[in-house]
Amino acid sequence: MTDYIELHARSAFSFLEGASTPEELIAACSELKMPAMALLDRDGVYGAARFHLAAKKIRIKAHIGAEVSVQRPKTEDHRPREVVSIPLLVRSRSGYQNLCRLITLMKMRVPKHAKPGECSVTPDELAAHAEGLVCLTGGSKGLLAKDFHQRGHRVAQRNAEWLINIFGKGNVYAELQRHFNRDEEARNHAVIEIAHRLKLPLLATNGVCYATRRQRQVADVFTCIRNHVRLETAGRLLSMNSERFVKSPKEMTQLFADLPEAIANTTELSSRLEFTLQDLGYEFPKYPVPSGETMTSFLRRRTYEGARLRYDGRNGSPTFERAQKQIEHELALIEKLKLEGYFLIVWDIVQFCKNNGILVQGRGSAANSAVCYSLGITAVDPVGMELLFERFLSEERGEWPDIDLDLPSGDQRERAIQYVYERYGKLGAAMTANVITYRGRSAAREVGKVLGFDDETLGRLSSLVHTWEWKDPKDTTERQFKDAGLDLRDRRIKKFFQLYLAVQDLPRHLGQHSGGMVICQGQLDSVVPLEPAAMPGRVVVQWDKEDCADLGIIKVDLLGLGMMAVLEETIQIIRDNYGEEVDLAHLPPDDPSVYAALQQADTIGMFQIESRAQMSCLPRLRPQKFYDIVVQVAIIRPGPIVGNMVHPYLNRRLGREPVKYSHPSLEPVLKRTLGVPLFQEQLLKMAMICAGFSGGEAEELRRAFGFKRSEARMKEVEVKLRQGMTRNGIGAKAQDEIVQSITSFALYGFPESHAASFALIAYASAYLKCHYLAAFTAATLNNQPMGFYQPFTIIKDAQRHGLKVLPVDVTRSNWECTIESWGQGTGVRGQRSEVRDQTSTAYQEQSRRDEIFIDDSHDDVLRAPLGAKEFRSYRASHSFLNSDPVNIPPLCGCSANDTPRLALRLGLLCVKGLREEAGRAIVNARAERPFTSIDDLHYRVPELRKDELRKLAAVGALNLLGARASRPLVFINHNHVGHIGGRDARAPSNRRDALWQVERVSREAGPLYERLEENGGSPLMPMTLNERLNADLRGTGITIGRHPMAHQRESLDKMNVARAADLKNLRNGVSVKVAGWVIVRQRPGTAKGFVFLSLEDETGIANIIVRPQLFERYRLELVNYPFLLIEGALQHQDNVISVKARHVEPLNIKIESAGSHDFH
Amino acid sequence: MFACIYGQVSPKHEFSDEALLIDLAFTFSPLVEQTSVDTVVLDISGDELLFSSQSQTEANWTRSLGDEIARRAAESGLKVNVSVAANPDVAIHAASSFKGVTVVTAGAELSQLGNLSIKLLDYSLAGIDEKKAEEIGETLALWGIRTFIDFAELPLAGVAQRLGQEGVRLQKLAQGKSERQLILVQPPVGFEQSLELEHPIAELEPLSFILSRLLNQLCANLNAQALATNELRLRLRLKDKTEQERTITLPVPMRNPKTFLRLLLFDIEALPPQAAITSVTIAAEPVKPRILQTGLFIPLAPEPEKLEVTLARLAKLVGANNVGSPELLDTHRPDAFRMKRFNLTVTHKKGTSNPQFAIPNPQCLMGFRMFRPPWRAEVQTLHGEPVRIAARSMDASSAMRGKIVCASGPWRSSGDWWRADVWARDEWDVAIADSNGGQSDVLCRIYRELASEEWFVEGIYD
Repeated sequence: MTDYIELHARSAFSFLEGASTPEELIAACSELKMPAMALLDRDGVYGAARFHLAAKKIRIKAHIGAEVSVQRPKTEDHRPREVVSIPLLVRSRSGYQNLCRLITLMKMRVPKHAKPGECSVTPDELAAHAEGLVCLTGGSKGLLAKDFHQRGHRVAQRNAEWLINIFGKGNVYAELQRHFNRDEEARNHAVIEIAHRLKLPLLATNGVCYATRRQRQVADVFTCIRNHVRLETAGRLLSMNSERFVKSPKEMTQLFADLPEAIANTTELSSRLEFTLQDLGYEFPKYPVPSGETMTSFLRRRTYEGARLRYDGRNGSPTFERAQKQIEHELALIEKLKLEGYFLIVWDIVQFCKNNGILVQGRGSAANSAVCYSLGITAVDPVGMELLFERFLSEERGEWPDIDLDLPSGDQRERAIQYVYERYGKLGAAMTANVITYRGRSAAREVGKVLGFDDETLGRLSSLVHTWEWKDPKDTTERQFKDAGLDLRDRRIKKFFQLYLAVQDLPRHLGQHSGGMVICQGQLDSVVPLEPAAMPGRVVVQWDKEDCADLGIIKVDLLGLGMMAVLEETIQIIRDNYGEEVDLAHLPPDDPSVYAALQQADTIGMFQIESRAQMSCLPRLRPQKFYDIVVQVAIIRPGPIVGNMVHPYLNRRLGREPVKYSHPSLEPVLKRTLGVPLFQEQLLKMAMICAGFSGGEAEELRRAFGFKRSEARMKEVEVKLRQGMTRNGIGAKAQDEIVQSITSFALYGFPESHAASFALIAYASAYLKCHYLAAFTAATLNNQPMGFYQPFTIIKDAQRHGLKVLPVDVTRSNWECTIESWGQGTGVRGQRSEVRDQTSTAYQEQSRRDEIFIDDSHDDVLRAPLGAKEFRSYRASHSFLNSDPVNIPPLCGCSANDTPRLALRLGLLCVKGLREEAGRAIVNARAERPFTSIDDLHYRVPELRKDELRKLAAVGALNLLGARASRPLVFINHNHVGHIGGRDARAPSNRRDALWQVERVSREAGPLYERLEENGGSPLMPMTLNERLNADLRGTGITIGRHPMAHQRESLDKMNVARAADLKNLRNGVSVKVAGWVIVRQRPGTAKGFVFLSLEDETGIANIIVRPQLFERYRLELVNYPFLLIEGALQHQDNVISVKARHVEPLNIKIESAGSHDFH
Repeated sequence: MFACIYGQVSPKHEFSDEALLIDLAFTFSPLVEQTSVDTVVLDISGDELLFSSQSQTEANWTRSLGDEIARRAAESGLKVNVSVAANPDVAIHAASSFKGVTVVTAGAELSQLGNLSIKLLDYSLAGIDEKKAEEIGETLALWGIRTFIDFAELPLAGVAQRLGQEGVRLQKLAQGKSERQLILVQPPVGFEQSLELEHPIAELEPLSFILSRLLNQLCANLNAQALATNELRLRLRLKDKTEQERTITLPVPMRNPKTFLRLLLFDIEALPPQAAITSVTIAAEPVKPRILQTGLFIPLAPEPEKLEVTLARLAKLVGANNVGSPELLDTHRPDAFRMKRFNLTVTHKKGTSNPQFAIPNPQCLMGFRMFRPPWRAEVQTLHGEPVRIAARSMDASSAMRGKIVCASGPWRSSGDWWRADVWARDEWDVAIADSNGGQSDVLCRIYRELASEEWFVEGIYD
């Protein structure tokens, strides 16, 4: 039996004031056989959840507390009020609630990331929240220590009395620490004297800051980071010795041999601290129901209302009777687990979204629930798809269910979040935290700085931290350092490396989780302290998502999904421009154009199925029905890839190998996926069928193999699984196969319900792209950044599908991209008539000019001194864009719903460097009347800065200013504007004209120069084709003109370089050259070092495979050059075309790069 | 007429090449401008008297002059481009853009320079700062202006409206019509005196005569320019073909040859050359002289010259590293200090860098007498505590031995763990009963270096 318990320990969650994780402290505690420990982090209980859970596992009692910053009471000498740190230990639940409220009070009134001392509680607040707390007098930074130094014994004693008044005599302990320090010992003598005088019990602690002696180095590094100094210059800011580690009871007893009561009091106090986080007192809020109803009856009623609508037996959906059994089963379990309130609250949020036109869809395991489906929370029918409810909720697991809601990212999601705050109060709901840890380059830089490395070395050190997912086995640390010109034998470099490893995963600061919200019945601030988040109007709890889940705090994830925003906006654009109402819940289920596009891997911009890997799988899988998309979404995941499931599935699908099952009993489970397990639910069902597991046990099995896997636990579960299978007469070989598939799946597999939810969105995005290309593309561009491709690629893809794209034009563009009628007076349905009304003479003119714009501005070309050859080239390009010689895929929806000729008008948001405020001001001013000239624009939109005007001019957005002025304008009293009827004489005719004028409008010229100027006009030469291309890419990152590769085609043809679109006509195995712009570089973790490139040219995208050895040889070219020429063997299998690179060379094309999407 | 010499100055010999360029220019004209490190412009009006004959046209004599400049530059080992033009800025652009010798005929500037890239336009010649130059450069690029002529042909009013007066100046520059005066450089004044000795000198006395002569001249030059120096560099070439250089840094600017002489002699005495001296060079770094206003009631501090001589004398006696003021280092490492140069100016300290470590109300009033170096000791311990000690000083002149009757500690400290000289030690305050029959106990501080396990006595408490 030990007689010492450490009651004052700090973890790394004191952010730069502690150097060990809570788990490390508990491990040290366990090693020293200490039965309990108290964690007192600074101004928070950030680490308490992890501390508690780690302690619970090995049956150590985790006392909770915090070092709280408090303003010292008023003194007679009227000195400014200082802030001192008072260690508080939680005795009871009310004490814990008081501590949480106290910290919340402090945090909520100071800015985020306030330094210690900048935030504190007042003495009155401390007094009001003292119940249930025990106070220690503190160590070197405590109240008494400061008093002795600065004010003497008398004041120290008075402050000790003040603490006694607040907390009561039995709840104040005179804390003694011994770190072999003379000053500290002098203080201890004084504390003992006061304690004897006031009859305070003595308490020995070690003021622990790290678990082991060695971690003092990390603590010193953190001290430097905190104080922005280097180790060499930190001086006495660093600790004097390494004594603040977890000391054994024996050591502490020896250290306090002269004061045995100080040691004995630790166990006595520990026994008084009854509270642990087990006794959190969290309650999920009750949902207010109409009188006469209970939550149970209300939920039941709402569920059945929804179920009758959803399960109508039509269009292949199950009948209500069939679904009722499952619903009843679920409702019974929900009632048993008292989760009605939770379901009703989520339903309430969904209702809010639906009533306010916010697209919402539940995802994740919630899609396994028929109740969720009936309540409209999810869109996947679990009865029809025979999904396993236990994956979502089970009695055995004793955990709260997890419902994730996908919302459109941006403002709409924010509205939903603010609704929850409003509904449950600012202190009743909060976001979960996201603990940002020391990792990667930032960790390397910070540690390097502390060690005093110069900028160049810092750059080299931080570049060593790979962002590449896959690591070569030969890529040892020594080799990496050597390659970077650093010698690991050098003492400082070696020290850097050790420290870099030591700080890995230690908490750095608290962020905000992207969507997890916790809600509480009553006051959430009595369950966990709350803090303001960096984002205005947001409150965040001190624990992360995992901690909340582990402590049984229920959460709702309100996740922002870019594609949801795209879908929502597309529907709105369709409504406004096509006059049609698209209901995502009632899309035609088997649209042939969607499946045709998918089968040809024509999926750029589509949700989840646009990546390079997905594209290379689609032509093999050839989706023909919705369930195929579910499989497609799930199959390109690490689980199936690592578990070698992809090829067997595809081979069986293509009839190249027979469908077989590890055991005949598995046929019903695996039949849909041709005997190959692809989903987590199948894993659970396999365990249930083969080993007789219950639903809950099966889910336990999945979790044992999941993210927090432990060897012992896995072994234990595997034994149980094998025993079950043996009992059911399954042979050893089949057992091995089943265990293998379960182990590879649990970690990375996708739940079928989740895949189905994603597949719905994927289908919707595909449908909208195929049928409303203009609207879909506009919405996609308006919601950047998102997805896999840059806007450049999205536009080129849309153009290849025949979409007319019109340039940014201040006379027509809105802030967002929009769609416009275009072409020869063809009828427009519904609200399109408004657009048609605008097709006046001026519009016709603009239309003609826009068309010319696509070919890099007619005016510019005509004014430029074109040679005969250039003119021919211009004509050729003109014809290319209007009738693409490459086959446009027939599935292109433009021909269906986008006729008559709807074109995409690029919005002002495409112009890099143009602020939204200025862009919207342009649109607002134009709504009053059209701009007549650049002077007019400048005068009426004062928000526009000179550089913004210049940017607009450079991308051609001012070219049509004044072109539509069809009547004399009212004179505007502005120095420079000459006003005439019709087109303004000053209206620019090309970009250079505009640039010439822009420079003038923003400068006061004076009356002398004004007349001289107007007679001359612009003396500048119009931009050449190449200049325009560069200006487009520099100014917007996109071009609606010819692809940069099209400009090179003539010379590429001479080199026998094939176009991307031509590859499908070539035989498998032939040697081929391709060239293009590298739009994606990938080195996936599952591909054993292979690198995949996507090269885009004017006809499409060519896929390149680079072997690891070749990558090593051409690393520089492959990584650094935007345009590449690659020679290799064509691989043409199952309609999947790629080139296996043999030779790589950079192309000398001088274009401002729009950037690539690299290194996933 | 103006000539421009554009030299390819190598970074290694930047200073010498720069000086050579200026020297070269002065051989042709007294009116020289050093436009930049590698460019000089000279006014050659009047040189036709030297380089033209009756039969020669202006173009011919300017060509001859250009060729002559190039020839002399080649003799000096310089690679240069030379240009001659009626306008200094045109000459600069021509020299920096064309290889060899270029003569730009007056009135034909644009036809000769018009096709030069606009990137070669030297904005600094139009007095445009870097930021503005960058802005104008961007605008010109957007306008598609690629050459001098593109820019030159833009309408003046348009340029003025858009680019302001800077633009107008710049356009004139591109047109070759800029007007300005040369910013003339003065012929260099020497603050370096040198003497090659006919017979090597191996003794101090004759050397002092030589040094005195050189220093007198050097100080006279400084005096003539109303300057002083705060750094003297003495370069001695020795008979064994080696060179020795020493630098004397002065705390305040001075120009007293006697003080300089004494300082140099002390320095040479402290570290005499290994061989006889064959050549002596003394250089002074010219700076503004010190202006000192003494107050009527302020006590006079020692004259800096005298103080410096005294310090030099001390350094000669005890070594340069042992003279100065000790400065405590901000570290936990005990007794860590460094010697810094003695400075008479009194600075009021604003506290230590870590005020939280300072003890404003020290309770301990005992004095501590530190042994430097500490005494090596042999200590017996019992349960980790010292119980008996025997120690003696380094020179064995003093010793202590006895039983430890009272010990307080250990006081543990360690640090600099990231460096090779990592340290860690345990200190004890001990009372020793003197076994030599002493009357009283000695209270001293002993410590054990944890790495070597060796004990030392650090000092005694008074």
